[in-house]
Amino acid sequence: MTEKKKFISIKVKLLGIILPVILIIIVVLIGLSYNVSKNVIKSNAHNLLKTSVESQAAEIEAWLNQNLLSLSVAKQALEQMDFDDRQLQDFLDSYYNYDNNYPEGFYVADAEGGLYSAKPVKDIELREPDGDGNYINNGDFGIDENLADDKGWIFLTALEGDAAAEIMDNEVSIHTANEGTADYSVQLVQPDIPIKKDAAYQVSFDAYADSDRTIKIGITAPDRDYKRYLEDTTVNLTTAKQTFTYEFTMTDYDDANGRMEFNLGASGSTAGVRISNVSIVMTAQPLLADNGREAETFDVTQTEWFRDGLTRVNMGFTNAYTNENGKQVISVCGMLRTHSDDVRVISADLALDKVSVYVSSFVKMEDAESFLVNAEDHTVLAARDTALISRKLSEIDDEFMQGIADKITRNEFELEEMYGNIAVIEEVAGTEWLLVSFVPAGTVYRDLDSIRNIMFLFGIVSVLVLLVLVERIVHIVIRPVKKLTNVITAMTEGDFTIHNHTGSNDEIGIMSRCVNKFIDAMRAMITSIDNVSHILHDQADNSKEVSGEMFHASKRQNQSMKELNITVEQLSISVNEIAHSATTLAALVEETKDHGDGVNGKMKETVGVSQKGKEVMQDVDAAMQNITDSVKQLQDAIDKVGNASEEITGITRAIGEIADETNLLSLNASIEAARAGDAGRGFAVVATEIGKLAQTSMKSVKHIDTIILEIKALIEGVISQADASVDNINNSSVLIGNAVKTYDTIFENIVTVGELVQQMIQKVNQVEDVARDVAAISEEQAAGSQEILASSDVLVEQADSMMTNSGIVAEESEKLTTSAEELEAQVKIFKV
Amino acid sequence: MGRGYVMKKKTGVICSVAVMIILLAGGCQKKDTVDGSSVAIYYAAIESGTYYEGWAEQLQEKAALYGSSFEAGYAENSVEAQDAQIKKAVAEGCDVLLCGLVSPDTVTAVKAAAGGTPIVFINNAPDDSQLEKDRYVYVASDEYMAGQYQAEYILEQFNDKEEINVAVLKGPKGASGTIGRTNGLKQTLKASGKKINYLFEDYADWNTEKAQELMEIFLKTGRPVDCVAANNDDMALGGLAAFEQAGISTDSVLFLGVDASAGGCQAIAEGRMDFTVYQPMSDQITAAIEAAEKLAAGQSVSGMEGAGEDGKYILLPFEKVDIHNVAQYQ
Repeated sequence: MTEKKKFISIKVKLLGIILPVILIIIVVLIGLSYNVSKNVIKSNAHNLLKTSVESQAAEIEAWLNQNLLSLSVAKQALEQMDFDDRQLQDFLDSYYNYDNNYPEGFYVADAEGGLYSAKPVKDIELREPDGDGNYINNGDFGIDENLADDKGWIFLTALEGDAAAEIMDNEVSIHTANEGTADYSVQLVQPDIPIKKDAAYQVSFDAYADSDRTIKIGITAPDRDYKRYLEDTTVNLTTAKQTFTYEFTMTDYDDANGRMEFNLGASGSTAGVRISNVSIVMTAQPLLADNGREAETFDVTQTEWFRDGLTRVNMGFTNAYTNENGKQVISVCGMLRTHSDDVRVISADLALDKVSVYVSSFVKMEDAESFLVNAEDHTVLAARDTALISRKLSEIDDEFMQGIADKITRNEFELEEMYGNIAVIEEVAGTEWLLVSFVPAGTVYRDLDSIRNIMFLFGIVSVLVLLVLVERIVHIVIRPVKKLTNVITAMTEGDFTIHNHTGSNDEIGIMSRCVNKFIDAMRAMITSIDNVSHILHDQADNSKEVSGEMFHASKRQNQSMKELNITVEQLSISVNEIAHSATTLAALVEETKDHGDGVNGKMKETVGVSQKGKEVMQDVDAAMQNITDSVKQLQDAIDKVGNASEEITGITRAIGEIADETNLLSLNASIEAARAGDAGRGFAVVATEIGKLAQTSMKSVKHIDTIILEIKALIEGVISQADASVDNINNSSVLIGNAVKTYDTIFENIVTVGELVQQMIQKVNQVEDVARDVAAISEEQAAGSQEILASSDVLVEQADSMMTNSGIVAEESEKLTTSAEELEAQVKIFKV
Repeated sequence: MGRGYVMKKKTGVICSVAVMIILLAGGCQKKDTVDGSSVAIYYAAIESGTYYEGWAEQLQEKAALYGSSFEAGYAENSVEAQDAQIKKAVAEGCDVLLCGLVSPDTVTAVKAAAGGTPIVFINNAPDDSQLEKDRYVYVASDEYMAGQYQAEYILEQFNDKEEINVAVLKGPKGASGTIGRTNGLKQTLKASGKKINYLFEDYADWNTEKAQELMEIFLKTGRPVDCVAANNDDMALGGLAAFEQAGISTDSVLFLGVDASAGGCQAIAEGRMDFTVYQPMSDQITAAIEAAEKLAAGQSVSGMEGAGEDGKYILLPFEKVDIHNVAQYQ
């Protein structure tokens, strides 16, 4: 708790781990899917391009084969029919416009340059112009002709067009109500205008309008699918009358039915138009005066189709070339099987327009483009960009085209990305053509870019959604943990009053429940600790009191013990004195004995002397006097012994009393020690020991008493005996004094005295024994009292230590009180 | 406790699944080896007749060397018949198909009819995109090489000529042999840098008479050629016949064929024809059976002689035949 670590919540940690992981996963996922999509899109695009070019090539091939087949069938028929020249011409004519892929039908040419071809128009009657050279009838609108019939000028409306026209004042005026939906919705035309091949014409007219507007003019061929001889031309009319002039050259066959058209429909205006002075004049005659067979003007054997046709019998395709009519064609040609030696080539021209349609329009891919190129000379045969047609790839100033040329040269037709385009080359089977299809790489990658953007967006959205989601989930999951944390924090600060809500059934729920249980347990425990600390406090107080009392008691005891010690010391001295006295007594008794022996010897001498004589009687008397003195001395000593015994008895009594008191004290100490509990245990032992010693002291004292009583009795015996002997001596002295006279009686008395001395010696011996015993006992007693002394020294020491200990106990119990108080204070921290 | 039990259960399931997989795998392998000892080969031929029956005979001989069973069916140029034959063969448990396609356009249908059975295509080439490494392979002679050899011979003979006039007699339109041989011829000639004039080029459909007729018509043009290169010997002989019939000298004209057929070789020996290439049919047959055995055993054909890097083709080389070595091929 004290360690101030930086706090990072679980939520932050979880989010810190989960969010980057999610971010990385999403980035990786999106990166992967983008990569996969990229590859898929790329390969799809490649496949699409390949499929597209393959299908285009197949279409072209199918178209070629279809034509090849039908032309081969025609050729075969022709070979089997074995026609003559006229029949051949009819056959060729029958194929004119038979199939719109080869509208001109077949040509047959022989090695000599003879050419047979379909004659499309037979002897066309071209009417002559009027005097002014004008091919338009009623060009000056001088005649108010019927505009509704099919002669001359015709006024037509179609496709919602609604208008009226009238001729007046040498002009035609056209009023439009509804301009319609096509340029020919409102139309002024004149058919039947003869137009000669290779001739040049000039078209002119005057026109103005009610307000500025446009009209379209043109010369068409109703009989030839409305082919345009003069391309549709927009004319800007103003309110001022102007003359408009246009020129064209007829490239087609002669046509008697050309049609001059003024188209007013769908021009964005309904303003009235006035037209006058319409004329078409021929400005240049055809170059050939002879309008017969053109074939004579060139060597047919030098044509592409003839030269190529000579190289095979089965029909096959030439390269694309521009034919005599200036048209881009490929010819289907081959040698005819003939029965003569003539070499004849049959051929038909397929207009490349069709192929161009396949090439430029049948691309099945957005933005993709194709062009057809000859594999041999790299000439572009068909392309959407018509400017490329007939040019060689190497001549086109374009890196990409050069690259394609390189690829073709290297015979590498695989799909390749080059110069910003993805290009693939497909061979058109049965020809030497290559169909090149390409798409700007950008088109392919545009989808990719959009996918990338979508994925990027999707990624951001998913990251955001996941972010919010994860944050919410973590928040919800973590909330109980936060609560729990608060509870635990409060617990740490000692507050156990908070109860945690345990709603969830997960690990956190279990934690909460466990924490609640813990809180309950802690509350119970703290309450009981509080109680216990109260009790402990009381007990410590008690123990402090008791130990104080004990200290005082032990102090008193100590004093008592010291006193006892002094007493015992005194006792010891006394006992020593007794011993000394006893020893002295013993020595005296020894001496007495010696004297007794001497007496005995003297007695024997006396007997001898007394046997000799009477003279010695004096000595005997002196000796007797000595004996009396000695006896007296003995008597004194014995008396002394008796007195000493009396004193000892007194002392032992005092000792006994003290021991009793000590015993009593030790008992008291034991009780106090027991009350002090463990602290008093050592003291109890001491007290018991003291008790035991006191008892031992008493026993010893009693023993001493008994012995002293015995001594006393013996001494009393001795005293009486001594008294008796004194009396006897006194009697003897009297008898000696009196019976000196009678030796015999004295003699007998001396013998009696001898015997008595003998007895006395015996008695002295007994006294000696007694004295010896007394000495020994006294010594023993001295040793005992010494022991007592030592014991009481120990006692004093122990009393001292007891005092110290009880002091310590007192201190300890004081500390205990403090601890109890502290405990109480700490328990009070917890709120329960 | 319960958890531990579940875990044990799971482990048990995983173990048993693993054991099953091993057993199954083992079983499969066993099956393979059993089948491996006897591969069933079915040859779906284009049509009956000596040529393809000859193929079938030789294929059977080779298959017998491997101890494999062999059966052949002749579709008689019918796409439907071929389809039905293949379906039947697969249903009867054939392990690998040898297929001479009636039409290269029906490869997809043939593959579908075969189910997953591997196919070795022979006789007629399927489109490259239809082949698949070690599954759908094509065994053939290297057609391009045949045309290339012809061109090399022509260039060798006309070494000093700057301009060569060539007549080409081709097989059927669209046939792999026609395309490969013609391309080999033309591209090799073109690469020489000489001016090559194709004075005549037409399809004679492998056929002598057609070739002769075409050449007769061509001869009427009176344009002299230096050589007549045909996609096969029969057509070369047809071309030669046209010359001979027209009484035109062939001394300075080269006649080139492909196949080293009996007629072709004889013509070369007689000095009428000049060159052919030998198509080692037995090599093709050997290679076809070897490839079939490998595919049936799930092995790769790469490493076989003539196998292409892409594992789709096994192209066997031709051998040049001219007057010097023609005796070996007669």
